[in-house]
Amino acid sequence: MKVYSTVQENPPKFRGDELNKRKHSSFGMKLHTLVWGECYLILFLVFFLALLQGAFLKLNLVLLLVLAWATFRPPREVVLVAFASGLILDLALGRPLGLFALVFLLASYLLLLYRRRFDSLHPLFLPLFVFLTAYLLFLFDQRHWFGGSCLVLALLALGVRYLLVFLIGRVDQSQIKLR
Amino acid sequence: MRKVFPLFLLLFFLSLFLFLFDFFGWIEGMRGFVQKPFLFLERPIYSIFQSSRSIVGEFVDRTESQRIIELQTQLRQLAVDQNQLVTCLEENERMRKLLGTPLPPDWQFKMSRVIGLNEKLRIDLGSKAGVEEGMMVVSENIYIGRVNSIGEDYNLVQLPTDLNSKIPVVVKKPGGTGIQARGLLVGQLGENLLLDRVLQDEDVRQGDLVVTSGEEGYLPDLVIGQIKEVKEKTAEVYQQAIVTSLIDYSSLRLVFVIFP
Repeated sequence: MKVYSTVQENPPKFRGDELNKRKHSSFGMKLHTLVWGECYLILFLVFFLALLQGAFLKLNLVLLLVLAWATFRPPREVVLVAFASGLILDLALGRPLGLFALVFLLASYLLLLYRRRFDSLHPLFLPLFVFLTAYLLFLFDQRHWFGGSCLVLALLALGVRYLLVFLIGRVDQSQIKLR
Repeated sequence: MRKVFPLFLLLFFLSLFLFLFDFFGWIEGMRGFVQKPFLFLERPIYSIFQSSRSIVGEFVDRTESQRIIELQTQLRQLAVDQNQLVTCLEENERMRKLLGTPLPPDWQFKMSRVIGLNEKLRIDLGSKAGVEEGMMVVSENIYIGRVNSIGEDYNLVQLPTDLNSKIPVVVKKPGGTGIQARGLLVGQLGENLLLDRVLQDEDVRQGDLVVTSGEEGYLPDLVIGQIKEVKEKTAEVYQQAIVTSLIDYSSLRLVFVIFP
């Protein structure tokens, strides 16, 4: 899995990357990797969480997942995943089609812009983004100022951030070993 | 980032068009088709959630929780019976006075299954079954909510606990006749509701029943809850009260849509 962090924008080329390039040389495969790359995993997770949200879950975990994904993945993938996840959530919750897609797109694009200026793995970065987006959604939907669920979501985002740091650290270590 | 901006714009406008098309109902058929697998999967997930919740509840405290459930059911039944009795008495009296005037047509009920519960309740009757926005949903003659938005095979029901919900209600004494007070039932965070806009000189007490008044498109005499606590603030123009709902919305499996 390729990992792009703010510190290392252009990852070093390994022999494994070249082998992968040869393997995916046909046009269809190229197009396929260009559009969907490694999004299957996240979209499967989004689908599962959206079903849970549609059935009983009150926390917007799909939003958390999309924004967490946006902190360390390539921009093209982030935008595509945000759009697809929004549509899936719209269908699962029975909301107007495109509503969550719009919200997720805007939130993830803003996050991408800020990711260039700040360290996206800073402990406050993801929780703050998740809280603000969830709170704006809550205000728009419920027209009420107190959003306790947004705070819970922000705390969860903090946990996710530590998990991300742990996982990304492991991937980096394995790359160093390969080199 | 420059490279991704055109893609972002494309997807942004695509979402916007989809939203507008769906808002005006131009893609209802396509949406219904795509949504079928979601509805198909959400229903069993919701029933699994409900059964696992009840299993956990039983495991925690079997005898006590069982007793509480039984008592709650009895209380609910009593409240409904009392309200029906009072309504019947009143109707009887009115009929004696107004012999010859036409009575409202009988309500028809359509049974519906609950698919999911988020901020709103999702049930499996939609525009195909003739459900329209504003219709009432009940269970055991207790008011559950009002149809808020409709799809082909589902609709979203706005519960009284929804923060945007404002229901004109009347307060009745259990077993008594006549109206004690008039007010507005407002949704609150959590499970309780707030009875607002009750005049200070009106007599509202703990245990009184809160029933729909029949104004603003709501059908009359549907029980919503019982007054738990009266907030006494003599300096205010209106008095307020905390109302508890007579039904646990998360335990609902079947509800009835009223076709008036």
